[in-house]
Amino acid sequence: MNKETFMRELDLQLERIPEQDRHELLYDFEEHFEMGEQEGKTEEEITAELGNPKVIAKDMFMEYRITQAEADKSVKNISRAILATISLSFFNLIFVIGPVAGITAAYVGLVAASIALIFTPIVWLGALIFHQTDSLLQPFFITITISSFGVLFGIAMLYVGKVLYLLILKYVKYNIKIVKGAR
Amino acid sequence: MNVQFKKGVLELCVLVLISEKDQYGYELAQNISKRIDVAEGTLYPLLRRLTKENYFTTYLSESTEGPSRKYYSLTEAGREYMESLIEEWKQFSSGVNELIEEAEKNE
Repeated sequence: MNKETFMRELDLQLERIPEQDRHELLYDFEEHFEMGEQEGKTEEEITAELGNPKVIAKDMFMEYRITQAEADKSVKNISRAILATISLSFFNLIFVIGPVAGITAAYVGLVAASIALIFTPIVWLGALIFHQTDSLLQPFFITITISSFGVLFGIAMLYVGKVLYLLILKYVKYNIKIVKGAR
Repeated sequence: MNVQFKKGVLELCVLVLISEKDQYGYELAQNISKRIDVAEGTLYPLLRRLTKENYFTTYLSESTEGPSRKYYSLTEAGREYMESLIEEWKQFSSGVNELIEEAEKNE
């Protein structure tokens, strides 16, 4: 394999990374080629020593996604990091997707519950409009209490969400270590 | 040698080599592949990750010939991390060696 093929393969695998960041990642390899050539090695010898560009690029891509998820905390970024991790190995498909899907589903359930609680006064409003019941004030206070509980619960869920985000990120990184046999 | 196994040890080798003296990527790759058969390309993501974790700092240095070189230098946190890895490695490798020796004796 010559230099051009090697670099093109890297570039192709990393195409989802923005131009500037990708250029920085590729620069290390440009430098490596130049120094190897100075020592009188051929492009073929250098690419043989470097190894498979696909494997190297996958490693870099996953690392990039995790850095993004750490720097800019958003659902989009962590999903991307998880996807990149899964593409690394089949092992990760089972050990990452399982727990992450379970925890996320439980969390979404709790958030939905808190939203439902917040909107209980609507039930009271419905009763007000459709049924002319005698005791409207007592249900009103009950629903307001439930609603404020829902707000507090929702706020708590925001904090839980942040903690979960960090935990999932940690778990993903731990998983990568296992797969790579680092520890 | 088994690829997964090697990747783990590679991190330790990189730390140890850079602790001796600051090196740039290509130089490091040559020093490692002198001893261990390794795909040199995997070093660059590794160097990047260790730099991100603040175990290395980098600086650019002009050279008389060719492009300017990006040198890696070990930080204090890097040194601590390296020492803990060395300790783990020593325990691990001596354990494995003992196992092998015992098995050979019993043959």
